[in-house]
Amino acid sequence: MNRDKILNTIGFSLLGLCFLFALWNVAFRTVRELEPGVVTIRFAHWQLEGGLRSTFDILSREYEKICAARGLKVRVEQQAIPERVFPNWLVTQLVGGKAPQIIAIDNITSGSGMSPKGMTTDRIARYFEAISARVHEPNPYNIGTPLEGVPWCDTFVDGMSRSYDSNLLDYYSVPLSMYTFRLFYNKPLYREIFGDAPPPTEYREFLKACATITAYGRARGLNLVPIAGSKYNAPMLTDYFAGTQTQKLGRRLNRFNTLVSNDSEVMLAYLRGEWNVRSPEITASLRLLQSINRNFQPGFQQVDRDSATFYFVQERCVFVSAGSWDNTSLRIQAPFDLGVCHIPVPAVSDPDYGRFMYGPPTEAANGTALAFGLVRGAARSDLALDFLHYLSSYHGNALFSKHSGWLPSVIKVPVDETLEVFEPVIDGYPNAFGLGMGTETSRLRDNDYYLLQAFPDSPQKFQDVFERNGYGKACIGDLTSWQTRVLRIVTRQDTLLAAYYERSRDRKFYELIEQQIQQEQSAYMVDSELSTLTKENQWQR
Amino acid sequence: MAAVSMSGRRALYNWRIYLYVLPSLGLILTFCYFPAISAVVRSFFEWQGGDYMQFIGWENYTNAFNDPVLRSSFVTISVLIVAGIIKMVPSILLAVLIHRIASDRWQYWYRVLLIIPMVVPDLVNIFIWKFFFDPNLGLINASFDLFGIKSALVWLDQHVLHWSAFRPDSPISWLNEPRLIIPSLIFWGFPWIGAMSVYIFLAGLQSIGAEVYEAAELDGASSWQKFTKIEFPLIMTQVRLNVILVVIGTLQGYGLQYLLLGPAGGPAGRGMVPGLWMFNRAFIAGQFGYACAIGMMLFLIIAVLTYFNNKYIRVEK
Amino acid sequence: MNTPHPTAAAAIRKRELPKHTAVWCILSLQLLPLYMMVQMSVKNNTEFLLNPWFPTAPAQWNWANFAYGIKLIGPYLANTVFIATLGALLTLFFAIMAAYFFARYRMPGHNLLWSLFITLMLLPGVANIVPLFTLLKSMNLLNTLWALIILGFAGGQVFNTFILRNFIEDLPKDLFEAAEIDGASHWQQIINVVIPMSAPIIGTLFILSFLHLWNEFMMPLIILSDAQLFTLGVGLIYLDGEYVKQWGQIMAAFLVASIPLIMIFLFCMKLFVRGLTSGAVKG
Repeated sequence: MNRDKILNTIGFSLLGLCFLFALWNVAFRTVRELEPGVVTIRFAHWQLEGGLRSTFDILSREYEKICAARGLKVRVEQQAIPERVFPNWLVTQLVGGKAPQIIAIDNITSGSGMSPKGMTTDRIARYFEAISARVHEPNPYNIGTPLEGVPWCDTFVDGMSRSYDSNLLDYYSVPLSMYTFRLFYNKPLYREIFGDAPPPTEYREFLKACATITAYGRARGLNLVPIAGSKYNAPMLTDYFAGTQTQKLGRRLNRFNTLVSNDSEVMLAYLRGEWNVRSPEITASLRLLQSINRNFQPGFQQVDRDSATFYFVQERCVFVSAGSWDNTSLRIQAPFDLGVCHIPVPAVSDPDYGRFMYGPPTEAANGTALAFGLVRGAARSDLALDFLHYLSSYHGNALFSKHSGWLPSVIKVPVDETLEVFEPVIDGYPNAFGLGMGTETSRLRDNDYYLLQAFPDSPQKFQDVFERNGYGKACIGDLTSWQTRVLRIVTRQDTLLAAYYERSRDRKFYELIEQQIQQEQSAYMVDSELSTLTKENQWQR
Repeated sequence: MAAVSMSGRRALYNWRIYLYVLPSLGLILTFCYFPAISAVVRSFFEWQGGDYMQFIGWENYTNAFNDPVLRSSFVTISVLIVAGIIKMVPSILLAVLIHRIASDRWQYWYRVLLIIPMVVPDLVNIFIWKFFFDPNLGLINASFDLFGIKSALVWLDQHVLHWSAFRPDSPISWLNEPRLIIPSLIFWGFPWIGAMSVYIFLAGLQSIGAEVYEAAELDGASSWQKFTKIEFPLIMTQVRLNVILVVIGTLQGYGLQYLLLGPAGGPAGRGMVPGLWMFNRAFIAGQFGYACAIGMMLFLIIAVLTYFNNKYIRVEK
Repeated sequence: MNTPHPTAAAAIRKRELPKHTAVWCILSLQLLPLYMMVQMSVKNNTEFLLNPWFPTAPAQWNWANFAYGIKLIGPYLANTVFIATLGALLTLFFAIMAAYFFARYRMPGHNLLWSLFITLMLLPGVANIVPLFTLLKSMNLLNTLWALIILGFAGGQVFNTFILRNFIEDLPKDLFEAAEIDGASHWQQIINVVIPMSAPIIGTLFILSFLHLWNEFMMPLIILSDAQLFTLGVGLIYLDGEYVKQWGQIMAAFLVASIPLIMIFLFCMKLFVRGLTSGAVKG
């Protein structure tokens, strides 16, 4: 009994000591934090890929040095928030008004009106600062570089078109990189199997290569699988393939003849019966997808992104499909030489899949990525903007690309030769659409996706279930929420409009009116189409 | 000890006693009730999580009643609740086993071993179980192959079930076959021992004196009879408490489903539970008002279940 | 106790054996995650893939994993100890007072107040997170460790009061009466009667609250924005977000993070077991 008492006392007093140490630490830090005159700039993103955080640290330190040379005490802190919790984190930070000055803004998919990271047009309008006034002025950090005097927006490869929010009529973000999707392969292993043959460039070659790999593994009793997949990267690869099959269909359905397929048009066309899940194009795309799916390791849809990488770097797979953003992670991880090639989509001459496509898909619309926005009303947002200027300057972006192994977003910035293969393909034709276009349609597709795997020989089962489960209803759901959202944005713009009216009826005022008319028109067009379709009792709203 | 009853004037005189409950009360009112009540209010609004709110009356609730996803999520959760109650059996058995062990020393050490896994953080448990379920490397598929269970399942599938969930040529992908998702969720954490519940049962069993056992022995009772006649009735109160905790925990829970299957509830949405749907609506679809309405419905259901549990399944102490 | 007859002893052993075997079977399954965590923590990914289930020879152990773990966890340790200790202490401080109120007296409003406590167990809390956040903001508590401490002990009130109330109700009445005759105030009764008599359960509840605060990760992630203030939970969730999992490093980091817990368990095991078994944790 006595011994226990002593032990307990020791246990709790050890804890007490730890606590005192912690207390001292915490108290001491509070004092240090109050050091006057230091301005803190915080920026947040969700990129936990290898090499990126350290790159941002390097850039932050550089920027601090630049500021110090100007006599400003600045501390830059990055916050990398894991993807899984990013939406919760973002919402609470913004609503609570404690957000960092700079937050990464994800591309909002037009159908759902929301990005996977929880960013919505509403939130951008409410919580982010428009930088339109600045984008036509040169970036001060470009003085003495090839980009001196060039307006800021023109220094980006896409002219900042991705940063412009067409609903809000303003520029909101500053991009640092570009994303493309590629096939990585294990060079030594590939050479072992195929000798000096180059990587596949076309779908049939690719299938043949996969078959060879499987046979090679089987002959040697190896557990070798052609492609490493996960629920994260496998759909990206298969969508890339499947998207080629809707190239022609997408253009046919597009009544407005915009070059890029318009999801609400496609969904309305579905409701009108102009296409369905059994259309030859869709069937072809599903078949194509299944033929690729067969070459992933079994059960790939169950595992997370990291497991696919794990398989690949442990040399159990020859290929892995991954984005340019995974480049450095893979290079850090893989104990072998990495090869990268373009996604080997079907050729136009392909007997089964060629007839639905115009040609190889273009990546011209990929635009820029890894964009950061300025949070409205944050402390020292002038410095935060300055930091963004630095990051997107000729030198800053070159430094970024060099250390991170990611593509730069700024023109004329030299691209490392290992990165050349990632540069977007400008020639080609846009892929049109996949079955998931908004929150509801995507959820339905994700839910039924397993059927493509359970019945790998034909997509018929998937098609049956998918339509029975109410794809039409999901389309209506997505269209309705899209339309509600657009109208809400229009309503919100009224305040702005009134302000412009009072101040000066300049270009911006008329631009806004135009925009409102256009948006209301498209919203009401969807509305009227929907009510006609529901009146005909074909669909229930 | 019976509490001292006080009423009216005496309570007024002894008003200081209230000071002892005041801090706790203030804390829960501010940090638990205030957010909860404001969520109740917001369930009548269209609210996206920002400042903008629009009153829409009962619309969130009528939508919820017509929401097929929510409806099927309640079916799923009912299955999980029933399973959760059945999953208490190993804990009860373990408690009885430990209790029946004659040596005090061993009893003590078993109790110690029981709580040691508590140092393993929840996240690690999830990682490791996820790994057990991995189709290619996992322990479950490996042991199924080893003991030939898989071929039995394949046979069963081909001749009886026709699920095509178990295929001879590919490993079982537990979390990717809609029909296997609920079984996987149920199997998760096998042998389902909750250290705390075993302790709760043990505490109940302690009140059984040695003489009761001796009397039972004299009557020639088998160990099963001892369990049903002596032990189980005595821990009935604890079992009831545990049932409530399991029901509440399961109804509110969604973390496991979220981490394993993602916010859409996995293939065919079979893993969708009300809590996850609430999360999905709030943080994925941005419909916070609707999520609040789901939360309110959950609360009412839990409250009603608890009420009935207390009222009709009353067991005398 | 008199020594049993040798043959009787053998008979007892024979009767006991199946029970021990059964308990061991169940417990070994229960200990499996811990075993996995420990044996994985000294492997690198290749070793792990080749041999996921069995430990490698000590000579091959990869101590660098632990260096990594300490490096990752180290900066967060002080914050976490601070929050968990203070949070657990305050939880119990308030809960003991409330439990005293509920256990000793039946004041007017007693039932109403008690149902206020109990109802909280039924509230599901996903959608509450935004109102809670706005509340913390208006109280100027965002990005402070205090917010976590306050939320910790506010959230812990229900469970701890519930258990302590049961326990205090079972204490012999005479003790309190004797104290009252001596002219002890309520406060003195708590100090002199309640706390000494319920030390094991208080210790146990302290450890449980500590554990809970130690493992928390969602709230710190949302509330804290200053990297200096991050807690262990935040550090660990980053490992979950990494795109290539180094299982060995992850497990080593988790193991390092559990060391303080292991220490407490090591020293206070008996107290903990006694507290949990003392009958306080009952219906």
